[in-house]
Order: sequence, then C-alpha cells, then structure tokens
Amino acid sequence: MKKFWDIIKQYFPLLGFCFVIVFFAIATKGAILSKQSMQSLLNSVIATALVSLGAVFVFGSGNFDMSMGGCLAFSAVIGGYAAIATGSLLLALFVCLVVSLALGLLKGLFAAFVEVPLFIVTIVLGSIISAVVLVIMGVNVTIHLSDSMHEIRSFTFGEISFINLLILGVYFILSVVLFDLTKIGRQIKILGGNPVTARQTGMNARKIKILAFLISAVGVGLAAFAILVRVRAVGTTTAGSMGTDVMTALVLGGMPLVGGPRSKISAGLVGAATITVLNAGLTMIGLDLATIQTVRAIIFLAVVYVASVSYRTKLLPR
Amino acid sequence: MKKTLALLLVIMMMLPFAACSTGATETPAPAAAATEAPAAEAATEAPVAEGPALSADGRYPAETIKIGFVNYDTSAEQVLAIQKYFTYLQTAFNFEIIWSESIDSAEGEYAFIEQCAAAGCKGIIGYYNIGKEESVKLASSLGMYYWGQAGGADETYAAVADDPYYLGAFFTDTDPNYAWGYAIGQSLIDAGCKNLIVMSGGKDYGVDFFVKRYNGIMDAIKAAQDAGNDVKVVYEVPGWPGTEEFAAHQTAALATNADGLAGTLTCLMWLQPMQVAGKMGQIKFGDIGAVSADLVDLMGGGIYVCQCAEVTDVFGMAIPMIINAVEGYGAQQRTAEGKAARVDYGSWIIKTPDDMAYYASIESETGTWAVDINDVKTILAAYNPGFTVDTMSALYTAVSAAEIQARHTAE
Repeated sequence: MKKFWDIIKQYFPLLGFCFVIVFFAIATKGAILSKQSMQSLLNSVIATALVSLGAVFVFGSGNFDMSMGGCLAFSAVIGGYAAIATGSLLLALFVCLVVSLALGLLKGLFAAFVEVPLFIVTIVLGSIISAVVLVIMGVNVTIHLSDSMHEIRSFTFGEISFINLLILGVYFILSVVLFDLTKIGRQIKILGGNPVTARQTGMNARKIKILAFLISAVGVGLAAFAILVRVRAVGTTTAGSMGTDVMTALVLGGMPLVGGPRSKISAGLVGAATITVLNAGLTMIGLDLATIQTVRAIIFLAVVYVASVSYRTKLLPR
Repeated sequence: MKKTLALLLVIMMMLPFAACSTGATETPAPAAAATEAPAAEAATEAPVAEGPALSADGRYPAETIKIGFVNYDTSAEQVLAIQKYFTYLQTAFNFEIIWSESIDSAEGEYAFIEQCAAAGCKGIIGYYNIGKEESVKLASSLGMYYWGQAGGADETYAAVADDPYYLGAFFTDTDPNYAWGYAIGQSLIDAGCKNLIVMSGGKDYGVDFFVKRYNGIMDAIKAAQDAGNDVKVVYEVPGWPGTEEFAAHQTAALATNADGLAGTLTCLMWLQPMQVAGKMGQIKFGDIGAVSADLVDLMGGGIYVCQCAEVTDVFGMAIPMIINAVEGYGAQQRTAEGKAARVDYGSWIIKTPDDMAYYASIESETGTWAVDINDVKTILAAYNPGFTVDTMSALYTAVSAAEIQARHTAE
C-alpha cells in the first residue's frame, strides 16, 4: 500500500494535469479539447513553458531567479526594436537570444562570485531591468511591429501554433538531453542537493552556476521571440507576472524549489501546461471573476500542500 | 492517506462552483462561429413583421450570444458601472458576458480572445486594447465580431474598417477630452478661483487623452489671462494616486495658497488629505470622472463646481451591435461605403447638484438608465428594420437630462 502511494505521489503532478484536463473537458462539454482550443492553449503556454524549462536548471542548481519576467520583457523590447528597424524577424530572434544570454551571464556571474543572496540580487536586477525598459521606451507603453516602415511578415493562427510547437519541442529535447543525459545535468542536481559535497568532489561550482543561468537564458530569449512573433506588440507590461507564473508552474509540476536530485525537467512543462489549462478552463466555463480566483487559490493551495508532503521543511529557498 | 483525502475534498468543493455556472450548461459552438461568414446580405430576408423569435424566457434573440469583455482593471469604477448596465440589459436581451481578469499585456489580451473563441463567444468587446488592429484581426480570424476603438487612432481604424467582423465603436471627430478640460478650467475660473492646482494624470507619460484634457485646462486659463484675469497655476501634480510620488506632490500642493483643483481624472482622492490639511472648503474641484450620488452633496456644498463624465450607456451599444451582426443584420450598421461604424456620442458636463442627482439616479440598478431597453430596441434590426448608423449616433448623442426625459416620457 505504501508503495502504491509512493507511486501516486511521484506522478501526482501528471495526475493533477490529467484531472484538470478531464474536469474541464466535462465542464466545457469538450470545447477545451477542440482543435482551436488546443492551438490556443499551446500559444498561451509557450512563454511560461520555455521559461519554466530553463528555470529548472537554475532552481535545480540551488539558485533562485526572480528577474525572469524583466529579462524577458527587456529581450522582447530590444528584439522588437531590431525587427521594426530592419524588418527582419531572424535578426529579432538573434537579438532576443543575445540580450537574454548577456543578462543570463550577468546573473550567473553574480551567483558564482558575489556572496549576496541571489534571491535579493535577482529581485533588484528585475526592478533595474524594468526601469531600463521604461527609459528605452520613453513615452511609449507598447511598441508594435506594425509601426515598422518595413513589411514584417505576420503569421496565421495555425502557423503561430506550428512555430510555437517547433520552438518548444526543440528546447524541451535540448533541456532533457542536457539535464538528464549529460554530466552538466548531473552536476547541477548534485550542486542543488548539497553544495558542500559538490565542492568537495572537486566540481567547479562557479562554472556550473554560470552554465545553468546561460541555459535558462536561452529559454527566456526564445520566449521573448515567441511572444514578439505571436502578439507583435511588446512593452513595459510584457511578461509582468512571469516570475510568479514560473514559480507556480514549477511547484505544480512537482519541482522542489530548493533544487537537488528531485529536480526534473518535466516539472517545467507539466506545471506550465496545468496552470494554462486551469486558467483557460476557468475562463471558458464562464465563472465570475471572484469565483475563478477563489477556485484557483484553493487548487494551488491543495497542490502545494500535497506536493510538499515529502519535502515540506525544505520548500523555502536558501 | 489522510492528506490525499483532504485533496479530494477540496476537489469536491470545486464542483459546485462549476455546477453553478450558467456557461457550463450551454452548448458552445466555436466551430460554427469560426467558419460562418457575416450574413450581412441576409438583412432584407430576415422576418421582422411578426416580431423577433425570443428565448423561452422571453428575451431576444432566441439563442444566447456569448460575448467576451477585454478589461484592464476589474475594480475600475467605470467597469463596475458597465457590469450593472449589462445586467440591466440582460433582462431583455439574451446575451452572456465572459469578463476577462485584469489584463495588462498583449499576450494576455490575445490569450483571452482565443479562450473566448474556444468557449463559443460570437463577439468581443475591446474595452481595453493593447494589440490595436492585431487584436481585431485575431478575433476576426477566429470568427468573432469585434467591437471597440481598437486603440482609437484613425490609422488603426483604417487598417480594419473593411473587415466585416470589425463592427466599429463610438468615435467622434471632435474629441471630447479637450472640451472637458476646457470646461473644467472655465468653470473654476467662473467660480472665482485664482490659484489652481492642476492634476495632469498621464500627461507626462504621453497618454493621449490626458494630454488633451491638460491642454484644454491650460487653454482655458490662458484665455482668461488674456482677458485680464490674474488666474494662475500654482502647482502641477503629475501621475496617478497610489504612489509615494503622487502623495508627496499632493502634500506640497496643499501647502500652497491654491483655491481650485483642476483634475484630468477624479479628484475624490483629495478629500481626505484636504481635510487633514485643514483646507476643506477652501479649494474647489473640477474633474473628469464618473457620476455618483456622493457628489450631489459635494456639488451642493460648493466643493465641486464641475464634473465631466462619460455616459456608461455608450459602452452598451456594443450589445445591440453584436446581436445585429450575429443575427444577420450587420450591413445595416456599417457606413454607406461598407466600413465599420463610427457612432457619434455625447457626454455630460455637470455643473449643478440637480443635474448630478438626476444623472446619478438614472445610472444605477434602480434607475432607468440614459439609454434604456426600449431605446436599445430602436437600434436592433429585429425591432426597427430601418435603423442606420445615423439612428445610433442620434440616440447616443441625445444624453442630456432634457433629451433623456423627453425620450422616456414618449415611451
């Protein structure tokens, strides 16, 4: 019996996701499973999923990052300006990635060399980046690709879904390979599990931390590009709730926020998908806003409670 | 084991919430909405002589129309007023609203529009729009009608005016924001104010309507100065309430010898600081906000000398326009060139407590509303087959107390 419940606990996030799907499939009389709805869900989940996948590397190594939303907005805005100036979406992709990697490197260096709690550093960094975005944009709140003098290709709903699926698929495979099948992934988990032991094994902890932030930055850069291509409008409010969305997704996905060997790549994807289906489903069944917020809060509390049963005393970050 | 049971209990608690939802008991038809073309040409063929087909509970149309409402602040005063008005309209018209949560980004706006399509919505009310014409195009590509200014700029309108799924909204060639600002400035000067505080809102952030309101106030002051009046601005308070910066400016402004406050947004948040500063009754208000019974006494006591207000009912035109379009009468509410409607509209410049009391009384759950159900029926093709965009403009510009009373008396 104990073994049975251990298995249940292990697959709880996935079971929770399946339950949410089934529940809303019944509540919406199948509407949530329609082709259009599935494409919509994919388009909605993409940014959170990409950032969450990358965040597994950072959180898995025992670090903490609250600046992901700010970094995403900054990358998307700079990428947006590049696209508006040149009309090239490929250049925008390149710029989004470069900007995000530069910010990731900065955070990695802080994590590796500065003895200040990264939790504080990334909160401050997020605020600074948001302020820089405001300065760059001046009086504009949002920039639109349609403001470009050049013709920037727009995509149909179906094409966007295909692009999103491609980006997410490639980054997911890359993440699985790096996290589960390479030395880097193993070192990240060991570092997150016990940094003292990790250092005593001769592992270069600084290098691992920097690498974790760089891999995470690729996800942020891709998410910035995905948002830019999909909505063609980015600005100071872009990804404003990304920091909390990612943390919620990771917890819903069964990821211990302290990192370590329990960390799993699937947490980023399962958690992001669960939160997206939950939000979309609650909207689709037409509940009033107060009820939506109440139901969501109850579900989150319940999931966090159950998910933390085995590591409750270790849930908070260092 | 106990913990798992506790989780199941929580899940069971959720079920009644879903069961209570009216949306959950309906049959959404996203596929049909996504593929059907606007049946504008069918307008002349639709039977109207015997009266429209009604639902079982006597509302028009027979089948419930779901509409998504894109919102930026669920607690905004105007949004709450719109919710009340829509609830009133629902007593006669068979529609259901899916309200968005507070949306602050284009990706949030797009996600909501897509979710509405999946939920079987036939229309979107773009009360808030970040994506400009792209939001309209998205709704259109998903087979939903879009009502709203879509960013409000002429170039945005031009980009989507020919899209049959774009219904248009209320627009005016003479933007009221400047006139409101001018009326506020003029009223304070007429009330004898010489030293004015100007609350400029989002003017410094380049927010268009704040810039226009501010310019209106400043032009009224300049006109008075040119005419020999020694009125002047003693302090300018930028930004919005709720920030430390705003509170600091507010304190500094109240330390001046100001006797008038011109607000590009509501001035109500000044009452308490003014009381604390011992300036209650020494500073007169003129602002742009929402009518309220609370303001009647303030206006009677001479604290408020002028309030300019949008008429909540104007946003209600979205409902008949979406119903018309869904029911196949879309062509009638387009311009002669077949473009989306630009409906003229009026607003209120209130200077007497009687007017404030009247407008506040009709704009409530117990009131008759400026544009009541019978008025709305005049712009529904099923009830008035001959209506045009001009009919709509005539209705929504006739919002003065006298015009409302005359219309309702005739009914």
